[in-house]
Amino acid sequence: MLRIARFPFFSLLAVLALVCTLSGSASAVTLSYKLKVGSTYTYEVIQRAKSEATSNDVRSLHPMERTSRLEITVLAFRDSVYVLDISSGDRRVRRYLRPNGMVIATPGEPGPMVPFFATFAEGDWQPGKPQTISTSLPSGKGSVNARWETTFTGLDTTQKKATIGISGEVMLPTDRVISRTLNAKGTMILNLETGCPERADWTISYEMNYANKEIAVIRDLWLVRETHSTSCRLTGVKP
Amino acid sequence: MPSDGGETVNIPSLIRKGAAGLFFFLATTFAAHTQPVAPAPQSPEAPFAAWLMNNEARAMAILASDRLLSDRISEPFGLLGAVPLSPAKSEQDIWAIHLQYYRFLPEAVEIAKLARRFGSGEFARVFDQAFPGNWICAPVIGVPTFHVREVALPLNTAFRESILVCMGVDKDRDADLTERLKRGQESISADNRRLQGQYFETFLALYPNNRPVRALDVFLKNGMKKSTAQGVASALGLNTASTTESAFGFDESPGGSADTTAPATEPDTDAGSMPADLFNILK
Repeated sequence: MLRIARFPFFSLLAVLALVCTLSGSASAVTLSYKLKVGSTYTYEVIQRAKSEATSNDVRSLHPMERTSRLEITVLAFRDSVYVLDISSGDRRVRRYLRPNGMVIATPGEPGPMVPFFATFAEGDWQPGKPQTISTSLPSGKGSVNARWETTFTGLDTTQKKATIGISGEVMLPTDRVISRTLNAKGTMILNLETGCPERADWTISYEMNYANKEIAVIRDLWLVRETHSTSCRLTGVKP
Repeated sequence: MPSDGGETVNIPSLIRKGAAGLFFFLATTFAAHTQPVAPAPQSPEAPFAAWLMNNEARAMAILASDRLLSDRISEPFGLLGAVPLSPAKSEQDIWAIHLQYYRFLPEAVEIAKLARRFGSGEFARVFDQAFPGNWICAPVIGVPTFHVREVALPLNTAFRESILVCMGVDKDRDADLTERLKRGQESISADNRRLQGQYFETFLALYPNNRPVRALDVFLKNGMKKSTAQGVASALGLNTASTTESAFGFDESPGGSADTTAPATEPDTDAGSMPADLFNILK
């Protein structure tokens, strides 16, 4: 009697476990670049920038837009490192990139100016679970902390495309008189079959609110806002 | 008493006197060098301009530093290395507006000083008393064959013009101070003039005890009275001051801008005053 009563319970448990395992393996993916040596990946890049300064009623606004072409040629893949030749406008840089996005060398780019890149953590990615990397960037006489948070937000199983959300922040010192924020937000659609990004969009937002304080009197003086949006779309791969 | 009949020379006494003399010489020399030197009187607009410049400098430094950081996160993906787009720095428009203030405010202060010096009528009265034509010709007034007016007028005119040149007054430029102030103000657009007024309000809210800047603010808001402008024209020997009632009334009441030229030589250390070191950009 006891055996009969327990059977449906264990069966249900086993089925649930199977479903969970299957669903888990279906949604968890490994995010990495799988580029083809000798190929050139071409992207159309649309960049928009807006700088705005306000002082009381006076407001100054400078929007800008530029469309350019970005070409990435995979020169070699050795010791799990891609050697990339990246050309955009009049800039040509050489970057040594691991499949997880980590840049290990940037010959030709001055060290202090090399961007802080986001990388994909090794292993399977679970949807909605953010991966964080952080660093310390020099600023003035000291340094400030910065971090990237990468989240696998969705998977298109039919087209084998993963959507990756990215958000970044630089922890700028702030007080009651001068407050500043610098953060970034964006997404990338990575084709898991070809191993290259099909589309990537990100926006960097900066704001500084500058005030003056004397004893208990605080007066706002200037507000400076800047946004930089970049949108990259894969237009071709040759050969 | 020495055998040769000469005076006894007391060497230690001489050394003592010499040392004392040297001490007094050094002491007086040292004291003369360490006397506190009175600071040169600063222009009334200086605290305001220094405050604005300091804030500009601080904001510039912060923005320059933050833009470097912004560049560091401008490419999240190492693969997609597009050249970052650098927009025009919009705050530079604000700095350009401030540049107009830095040019205009010394001009406004100079106008206020001229108005104060010549506009009261006191200068014209003293001038009249000092005219050489008047006192040279005084003894011969009433002599029938002597044309007093013909002699006195050129003497007085030459005297006036020489004195004004010595004082650095340009008759063409300064005869109508209302017009000169108006020209200066019109070099700044209405919006930017309003912003200047708002900056003055902010400054005076932060440093309410700064009288020179308050006086300058009042002067810029109210301008000169018609009588002041006419007084200046009269003192300069030209009656070309604007005859229309000026919108600017140079307020010389005790609560107004009577102290526009008062140098702020005494360091204000109480609350609401500017710090002693105005150009504290590097702090």
